[in-house]
Amino acid sequence: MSERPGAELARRPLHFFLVADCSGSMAAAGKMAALNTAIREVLPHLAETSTRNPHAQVLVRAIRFGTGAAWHIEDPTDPETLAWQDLRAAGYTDLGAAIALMRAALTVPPMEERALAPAIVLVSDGQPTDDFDEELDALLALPWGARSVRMAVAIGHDADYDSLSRFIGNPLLEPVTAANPEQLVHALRWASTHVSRAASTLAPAGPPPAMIATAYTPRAGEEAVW
Amino acid sequence: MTATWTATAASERGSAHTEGVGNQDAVGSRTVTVGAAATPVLLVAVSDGHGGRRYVRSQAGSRLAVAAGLDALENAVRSCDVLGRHDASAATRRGELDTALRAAAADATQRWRVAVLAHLAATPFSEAERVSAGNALDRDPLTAYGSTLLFCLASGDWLGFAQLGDGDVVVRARGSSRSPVPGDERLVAGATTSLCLPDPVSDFRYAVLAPEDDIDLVLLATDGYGNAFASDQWRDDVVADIGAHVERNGHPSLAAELPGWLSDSARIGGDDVTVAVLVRQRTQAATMATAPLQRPAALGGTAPVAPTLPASRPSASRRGNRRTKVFFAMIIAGVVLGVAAALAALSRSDPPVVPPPKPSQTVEPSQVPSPLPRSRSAAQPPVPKPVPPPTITVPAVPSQRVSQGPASRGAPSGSATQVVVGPR
Repeated sequence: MSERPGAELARRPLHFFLVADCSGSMAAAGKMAALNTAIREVLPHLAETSTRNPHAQVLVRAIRFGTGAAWHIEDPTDPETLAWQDLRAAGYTDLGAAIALMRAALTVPPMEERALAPAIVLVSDGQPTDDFDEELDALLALPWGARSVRMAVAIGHDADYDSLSRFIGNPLLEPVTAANPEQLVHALRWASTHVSRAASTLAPAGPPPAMIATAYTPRAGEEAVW
Repeated sequence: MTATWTATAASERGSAHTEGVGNQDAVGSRTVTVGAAATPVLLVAVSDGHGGRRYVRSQAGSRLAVAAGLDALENAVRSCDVLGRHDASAATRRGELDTALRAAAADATQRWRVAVLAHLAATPFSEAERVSAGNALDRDPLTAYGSTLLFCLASGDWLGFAQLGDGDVVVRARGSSRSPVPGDERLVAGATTSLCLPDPVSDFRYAVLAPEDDIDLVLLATDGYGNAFASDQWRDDVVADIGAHVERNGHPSLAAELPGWLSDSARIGGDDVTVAVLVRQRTQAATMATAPLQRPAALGGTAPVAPTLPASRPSASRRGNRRTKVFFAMIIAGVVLGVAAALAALSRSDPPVVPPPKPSQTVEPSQVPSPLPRSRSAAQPPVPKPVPPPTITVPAVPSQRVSQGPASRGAPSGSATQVVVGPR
């Protein structure tokens, strides 16, 4: 067989965005520490998802939001090589600012023509304190924003489920919940796997485990910290 | 000298497809003869069925689209008077070809809709399909069959293209590549226009290329092909490498190799991949007169699949400078000889009249008299005599073949989701 015409082939980029709530309330009851731990637990799973996918290369970015929003990881990064730096909690819950930041990343360029649908996971424990609705509408007005696959993780009973559901934008899906650190690991892992698989058009990740489903009620022996 | 075109095509199922989902791309071709001179015209159509869950019949939709496209294009070509004449001015020819393409686009759309409804009447949606599509099938059954459509005609030194939706048309002229069909700014983030939308005719884009464009290679591809390349600058390398391959090894080699190349793209890019390559050749008119078209240009869509090459296989475009030097030497020689030939041609008051082809047993691709002698042909290296690949199953002209890649090669998947511009 002769050489294949054209330049090098490559798996298509799958941009994974983690949007993390770093508001002051996240400092309570060890939520921020639990989130940092959960992210470190989930990164190897993302790396495995990327490695085992023959046609998608997962690239991770992260946005933190409190009073305003900022890139925590700005460059698309291979999850296998990503060294996670701890997030710190302080300020308000400016989720709209985070969405605005992500919107800039989902324009063309910098988004590649050949990219797969972006995968976005939002983690929050409270209510947005800025113009989240307006910013979400603007995000969804972008072709890549509309194409993105989104999931949300609600931490504790104070999370704004309506906003998180609106962020997901799929009437068949609700936010997954975490009432303690263990559940946060499960919820973040499931959410990350779900959006990555859906964005790369592999078979769906299946329904979330009962322990992190929205209708979850702590059973005897289970701890509800948040 | 006479310009002839040979077509070779292949289609491979994407690795991202889930179990039970076949290749949702389709490709087909036929050659028709028009006018008193029986001028042969090569027609090629490519379609990409959408990959989302709603498009549960897109595999059938793309096949029906190719058939509708070829039928409509054939009708339009037969009504296009200039294709059968050699005395029409370039402006007239361009205008009538453009009109024919637009008529074919409208006709193809209507034919596709009729064919889809007939297919649906014969094969009602199953419960599984309704569940997959979210039970919206009865309100808008056409969506289930959603597909793009790209078709082209090649006649002598004239080419015409009509494109609805994503995919690529790349041509090579004097060693450089370009995309002649105008872009559509809505086709971003995997969104595409489609035959299943309310007014697809208005979404078609067109291009007509004339002899002065000097096109010697055309590549038609579904978007799965380009998306598998790491760089978005893949077009230059691809047409240069394919052109060089054909010049070195001939069309049978291209037909044999193409499925393997596309298999790499389908494995790494994940989406279904379909490519049709049209290559122009120059032959002496006298030869053409005794070796007329006997059957349509070869399509390799069902060619045996070559073993998959490793992803790390080096690109043919990086083989160093030697080939480039040879290429430029050929170009320089071509320019020198071309100028001489052009001067000789201009010294004549009338273009040469090429006799119409006569029947013979020789198997040749479409061969069309050129209205003017082409200087380029005198400078080009000998082109291997085109021999159709061994996969041709199409009877004599006019004929048609619509091929789709293997429907069940065992790969897992769900090709990259394609979102239709309009209904979501």
